[in-house]
Amino acid sequence: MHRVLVIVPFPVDPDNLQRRRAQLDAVRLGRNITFDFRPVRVAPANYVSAYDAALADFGVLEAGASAERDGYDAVCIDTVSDSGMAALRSVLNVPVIGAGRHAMLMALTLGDRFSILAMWDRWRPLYTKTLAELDLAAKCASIRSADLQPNNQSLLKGREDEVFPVLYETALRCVDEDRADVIVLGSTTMHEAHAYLSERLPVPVVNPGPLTYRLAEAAIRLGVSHSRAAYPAPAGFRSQDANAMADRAHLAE
Amino acid sequence: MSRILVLIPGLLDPAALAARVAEDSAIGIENDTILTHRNVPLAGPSPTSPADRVMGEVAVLEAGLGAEGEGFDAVVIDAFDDCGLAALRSALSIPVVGPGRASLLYALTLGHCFSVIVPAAAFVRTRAAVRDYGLARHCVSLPCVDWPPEGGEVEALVDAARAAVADGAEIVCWGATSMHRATRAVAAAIPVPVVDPRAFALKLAESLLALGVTHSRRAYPEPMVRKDHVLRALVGRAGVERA
Repeated sequence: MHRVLVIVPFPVDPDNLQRRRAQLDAVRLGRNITFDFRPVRVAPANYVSAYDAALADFGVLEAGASAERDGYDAVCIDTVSDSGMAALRSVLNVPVIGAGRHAMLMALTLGDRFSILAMWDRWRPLYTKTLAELDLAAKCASIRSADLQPNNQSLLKGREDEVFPVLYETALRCVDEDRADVIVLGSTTMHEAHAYLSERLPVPVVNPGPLTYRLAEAAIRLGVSHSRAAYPAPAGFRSQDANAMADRAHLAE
Repeated sequence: MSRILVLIPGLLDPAALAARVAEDSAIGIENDTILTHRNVPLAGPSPTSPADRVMGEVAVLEAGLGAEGEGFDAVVIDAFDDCGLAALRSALSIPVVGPGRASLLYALTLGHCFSVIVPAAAFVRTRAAVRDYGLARHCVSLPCVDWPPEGGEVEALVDAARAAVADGAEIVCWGATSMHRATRAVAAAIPVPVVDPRAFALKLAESLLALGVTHSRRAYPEPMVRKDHVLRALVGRAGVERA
């Protein structure tokens, strides 16, 4: 049995954790593989600044640094920001799948250019950072936001009638005006809109969370992981130090 | 159950085909995935000139354009040059996957830059393809090998892969699907990951089916008029029916 750790980038209660786990229902998975969803203990309130990113990177690193020791064969990070991905790749040998860059790169296997559909424009720096790291900004037709307040706890629950049509109209502009071949959902917190959008849009819609589960499985079966040349191991990092820091922060919250 | 048609440009001898099939279980093809391998005789392996490419495109397109009607759920083209990929995508709604561009994009999920180990005869074509994909800045080098070698497949590829690592490659990718047999041995010999395009293309096809996603019709528009009968006549298929 292969085990995959899915790191949820915010502390969430059981109900909201289940909303994240619901992404498993959007993809057919192979046999003999399980996915454990683990919330971080340290996180910013939301992801709109570099200040937030510093906390986010730490939270994901702390949550996942012991994954190999805990018996996991791969790690998925449930955020399109790819927060903590590089750090975890430097301390782990098992595959670490970041939802953001994997969604963008796999979108390019389906068409020549993609657009990123976001809830609000405050997420723009998350995408431009990854595009710069990939050096593929030219492949991004546009980043458009629906000007809607996201909720990283309850996601889109209860707001379907308000949110889904606006997301659809925004995505259609990406296709008709920006000439996008593919739409990438700009957050795993938008997954509940994927089916609605896929049924109505004339282009494929990449659902980043479920994609990471398939790519984790593929990496395990192919025996492939990230390049140590790209993610060199640290000199003195110890996961127990990060754990102790998180213990203190948990008390301070 | 997923039925995937694997089109192999050229005429593989039985031993080579058996080696491909043997590799399928090793790369974790799912139990309920059925692969059907089909040679495409008029498309020679690794066409080296644009004229060869034109012939190959017609042959692969004709070989695959009935796939949906035959009940296949996806098509994989077993050739690193993705010969016929765009044409088949414009003809079919089911996923059509080529190993070339897809495996280079997959390489970029693992690191920042790659090298492609290329059969010498394919160097010019591969360099053009990398540029056309918009990935020239990500490509460190294209070390060439005489392929297939007189002997010592693994040794030839290990040497080329080590050269790629010395060039600064963070990932090594095979430039021919026939290099698949050497993947494990070479990966054990170098400090960076090795991407096997054929294996990844098969897993990508499975993943697209599992996610319910296919290629973009905006990127691959359908023809306004299909001339399947003409294609079949071009390749000399018996029992041609006019559209």
